[in-house]
Amino acid sequence: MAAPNLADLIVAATVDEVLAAELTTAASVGMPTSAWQPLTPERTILYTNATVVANYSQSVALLAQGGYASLAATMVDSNGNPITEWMDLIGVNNYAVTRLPATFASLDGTTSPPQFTVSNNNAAGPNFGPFGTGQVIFVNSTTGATFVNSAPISAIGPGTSAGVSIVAQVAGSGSTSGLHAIDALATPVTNIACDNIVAAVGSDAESNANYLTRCQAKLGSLSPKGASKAYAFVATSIFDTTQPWYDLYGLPTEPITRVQVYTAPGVVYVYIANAAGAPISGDVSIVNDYIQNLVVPDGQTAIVQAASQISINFTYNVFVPTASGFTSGQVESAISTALTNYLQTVPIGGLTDASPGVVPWSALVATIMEAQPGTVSPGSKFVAVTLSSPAADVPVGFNEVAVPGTITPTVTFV
Amino acid sequence: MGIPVTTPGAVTTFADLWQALSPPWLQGYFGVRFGYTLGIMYDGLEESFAYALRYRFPLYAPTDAFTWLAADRQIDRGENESAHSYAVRLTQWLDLWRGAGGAGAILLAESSYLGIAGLTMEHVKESRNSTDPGGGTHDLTDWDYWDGTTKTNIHVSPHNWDWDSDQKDPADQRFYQVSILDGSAPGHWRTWVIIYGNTKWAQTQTFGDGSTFGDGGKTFGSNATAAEVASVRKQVAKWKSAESIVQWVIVAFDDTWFQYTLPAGDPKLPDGHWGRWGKIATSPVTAMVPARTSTAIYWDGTT
Repeated sequence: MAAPNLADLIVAATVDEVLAAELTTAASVGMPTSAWQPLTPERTILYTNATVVANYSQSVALLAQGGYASLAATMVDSNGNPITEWMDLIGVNNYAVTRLPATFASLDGTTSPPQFTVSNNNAAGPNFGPFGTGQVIFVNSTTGATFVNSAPISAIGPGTSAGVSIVAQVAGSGSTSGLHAIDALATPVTNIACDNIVAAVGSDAESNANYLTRCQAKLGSLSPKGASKAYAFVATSIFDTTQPWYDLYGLPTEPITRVQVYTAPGVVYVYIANAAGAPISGDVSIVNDYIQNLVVPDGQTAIVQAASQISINFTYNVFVPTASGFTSGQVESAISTALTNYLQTVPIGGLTDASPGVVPWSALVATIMEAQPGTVSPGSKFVAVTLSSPAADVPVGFNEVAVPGTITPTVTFV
Repeated sequence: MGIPVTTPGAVTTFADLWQALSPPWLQGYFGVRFGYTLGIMYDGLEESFAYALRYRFPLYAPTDAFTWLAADRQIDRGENESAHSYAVRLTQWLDLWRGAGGAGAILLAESSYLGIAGLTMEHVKESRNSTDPGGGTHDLTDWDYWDGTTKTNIHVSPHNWDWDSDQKDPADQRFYQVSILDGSAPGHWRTWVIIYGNTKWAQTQTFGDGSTFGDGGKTFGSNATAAEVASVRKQVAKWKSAESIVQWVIVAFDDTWFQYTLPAGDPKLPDGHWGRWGKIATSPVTAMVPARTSTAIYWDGTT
């Protein structure tokens, strides 16, 4: 067997290909293959053998792909879903970098105004609460994502409201909820309402592509001379328990998922953002500690700053089949959540399509069109959308991160 | 009735093993050939498993695996680099990355990437003027010289590199910020990479040579392709320190220019007026004249 190329190994042989090879081999050694009809014992045995060999061939393909981080990061199963096991093996064993786990969507009830509020709309009557941590379950009635109070709730009297801190019960983007989407109690209580004025953002476990990027960036941190890649690696890896410096200077409230390194004369500017947008000042301070102590060489200067948030306001009219059975509220909530999830993937400084540094208008349209409140079926797919705001690509400055602003929806059933 | 026990002979392939394990009634003309056909498929599989394991190692990798190894190890293959040379460099990835952020890493990367035997290069940092605790003054230019295989660091005193001290322009941060002439310490973040490129490129593609703007893949001032220029700049960006700005990549076609051994004020070194393409000369008449030598071309550096 001549030495194959890698390209030959990373694609599994099919049963038909192996069977053809068997028949060619058999003919070459003098077997009367043309006399073997389908279902004869000879053909049946060869077909069975070909099936076994083809199955092993898949193992060869995976083994070959799994030898390279950059190739393992592209591996998908027969349904097109990412295969993460190989990348995990390489990430940990070759780079000492661990995939970042999914995060829990959460909202802070202590801010002013509170990100999440519970209102007792009874004119008179009993208080709502008090409740201990985890005793009240709130729901995104469109997606079914559930949240519990992450701190005790004091009694909320009739006609008053109070901020409540909540956290998703399940990690990941499935709990991401756009503005006003967390709108009910799991066990409804008459005249008790809730509302979120800030999107709750949860992130899935780190994708293969992002994981690979961090592995590659790790190389920059091997040098004590302040290579560019080192800044991005340290900022995004603070929650990576594999790193020997894990929790050395504390942990931010949210992982940093986006970094932009900008060199100005004599100073390195490091702009950071988490999944929801700009991190709070306390988080910036913690990230700064890691950067200054682990990356910046003596005699050099780095300034770590939160990325500047730019809010994108949306005005759309989406056309939905009446037969889908969706309500306007379900559609609006699903779209709000989808836009929130999409924007958390846009890097600081935006993307490059026809022009650099933008949030592409076409991507926003596609995001809305694919935002299904329920299971996608031919009768439930949105028919069309008119996105009038923004009306074009949204420019994003090199130090800016895009977040959803006010959404003005129109749902037209057709 | 039990299965007949057969002790195989010494075999090295599945095809042979099939025959060795076969009972006598399967060792006739057709049986042997049928078994060979089935067994050789597993021989192919076994070899494929072995190659799948070996190919991840650079010294055993086929050339089409280099794309993936380059991404994994962040080491780019030079356009003229042999497969063996590149494979060896891939094995040195951790050592190479340990030096990232310094002049040595940039020069080594460019040398490997360009793959020109005997290629010489220089890396020069902004000149500086400092006073040590004992009151001694140090006015120097910090050079790194690549002789084709190794790097040497040289401090030249008094400083002999003065790119644009006479053309301070606070509005343009690429220019000199603090005057070396007034004794204050200048910014030290600017650097220049000088490639003596006449063994690879020629000074062509100049005004009036018949080319037109938009000619595919060409660049102005030499026969270097746009892809080559992009690759050289990419190496600089990858291996430089995050803090430094490589002001220009200078491709020198006259080996007598930019030599670190030249004394301060030598006419074959920048004279402080090189910040812009032109400067005003007063003799023999007052006129705008080229500020920089035409024996070199100047590619944008990188931040």
